[in-house]
Amino acid sequence: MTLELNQVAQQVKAMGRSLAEQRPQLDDNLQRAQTLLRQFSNQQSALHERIQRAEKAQQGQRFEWVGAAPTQEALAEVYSLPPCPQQLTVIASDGSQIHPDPHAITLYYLINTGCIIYRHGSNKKPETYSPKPRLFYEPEDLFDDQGRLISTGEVNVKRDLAELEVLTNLGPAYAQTIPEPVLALMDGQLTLRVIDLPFDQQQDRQDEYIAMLDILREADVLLAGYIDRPRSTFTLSLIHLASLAFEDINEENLRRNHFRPLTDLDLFNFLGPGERSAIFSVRAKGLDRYTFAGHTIHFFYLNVSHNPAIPHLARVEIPAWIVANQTALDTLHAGIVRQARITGGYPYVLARADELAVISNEEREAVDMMLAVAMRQQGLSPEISLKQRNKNAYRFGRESFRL
Amino acid sequence: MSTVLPIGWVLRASTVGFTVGCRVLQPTTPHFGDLVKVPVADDVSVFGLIYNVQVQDDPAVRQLILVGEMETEAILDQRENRLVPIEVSVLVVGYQRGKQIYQGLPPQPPLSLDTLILCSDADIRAFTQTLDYFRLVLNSAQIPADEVLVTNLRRAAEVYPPETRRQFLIGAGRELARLLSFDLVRLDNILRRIRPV
Repeated sequence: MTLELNQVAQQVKAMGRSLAEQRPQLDDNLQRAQTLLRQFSNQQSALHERIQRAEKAQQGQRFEWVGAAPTQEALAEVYSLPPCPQQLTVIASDGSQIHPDPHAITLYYLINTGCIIYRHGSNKKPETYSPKPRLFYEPEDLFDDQGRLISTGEVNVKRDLAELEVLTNLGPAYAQTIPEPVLALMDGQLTLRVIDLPFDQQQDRQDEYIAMLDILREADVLLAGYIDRPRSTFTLSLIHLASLAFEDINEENLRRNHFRPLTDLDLFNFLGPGERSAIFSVRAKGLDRYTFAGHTIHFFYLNVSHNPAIPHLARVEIPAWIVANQTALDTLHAGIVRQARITGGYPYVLARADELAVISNEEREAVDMMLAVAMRQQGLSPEISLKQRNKNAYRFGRESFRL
Repeated sequence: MSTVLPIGWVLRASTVGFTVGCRVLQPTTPHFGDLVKVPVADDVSVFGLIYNVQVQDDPAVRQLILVGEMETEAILDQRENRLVPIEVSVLVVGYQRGKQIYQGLPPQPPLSLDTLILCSDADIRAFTQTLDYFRLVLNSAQIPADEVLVTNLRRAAEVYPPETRRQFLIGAGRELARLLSFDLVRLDNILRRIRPV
């Protein structure tokens, strides 16, 4: 053990004191934010004007204004848990990957996805589905035109696309053959994170992703992204706008958000068991393509706990076509809570999809071992880098894949 | 002669006993006291008695129990899809080489991933032609020896035809009386429980 815990101990104590000292200020800010939320609860038009001014103020600046925009729902309103249909099918997918490692015996990456179909009220065991893992090793998979190795961000985008592809294949197939509503859940945000991609690829990947959202919409599959313990501040950014006089909305004041480091979870701590917040839309320039395609990203906060003393809030992202359909929205709201209550705070299907997709360290080592054998059979000499060999030797006292 | 489908695979083994991992889904669920065998090489099988069946701990199952919001679908998922392994502990009581059955410890234990199969009625009848394995069972510490033997004898008796069943149990009782003559309370407890109806 190299970490000298005795030297960390003093800093940990100081950290504890600092957290306690921050609390009164945070509580004051939270109270102020919640007061503003109630005060502006029905002033959607005024808030939209402020958002437009903020977006204008940020034009030409390096950073755009990102935040929540109100919908027709009152901002501070609380929406209680609707009844859940007795019969409901919930499908979830998740993905896992092995990133390319320049220190490994050879360059490759692998994507694995898992999926579960849980039919509430069926008295049948859920079906699980694991598409064939995809191993990428050809030069065109690994390198771009300039010979640069594919980044972890690009691999993650491929994984996210594969996750949605599974839902797109299975969701409509079930929706067409069974009478009950079909809910498709994704772990994390609903949008594809393309910021790590080269600019020319961003739009292509987003278009590919949006085309799959179109298929789910056509099939009436209720789609949602579930974000557990989010650190997002979309609504607080809106509240910050509300706290400023209209004429004071400028680039400098927008940067000084006094509500930091509060998060939206703090703001909506008044949600009771099963209750959701009002729905907001996400305002961010990068999401324009979703809006043009009719998938404007909306969200609400949801307390999935059944214990009033222990709230458990998540952010749920949904596309515009769910917001426009009250029955679909209520089914989705109730279905997510029903799923989360099986495990005590996190949708059961997402936990199981993760279990089906995850690549353990042992499996990763096994893939490396199989590759080493395959390479030796072809007369090649698989060698990990000296850096990795030394790390293995010092960390584990062994070299795990030397043949 | 034996159940064709394996009910589990050897996890760890020694000459005196071994542990097998198996899945809840297997068609023939192993029972406490069952006579089982593991083919270990050409013409060689190791016989044993199941003395413990243990469902392995699993954090996901523990969490579901703590929450208590049990749904039929989730229970089926845990039992049939997740296939949490159960561990079956077996006491070695004999081995077979060719057609000859020996009651006692085998020259070599099974190896990892050898398959465990339930003995057929014919296997049970063949194995219980002699009862020398009683001593191995009764002398085994840290297993519920009396319970294993009682359960095993009752099940073995069932595979004998009605006309010889009583004779088999009386023979077993005599062998037990010989082995446990120094402990009449223990002997009485076993005899009362295997007494022919």
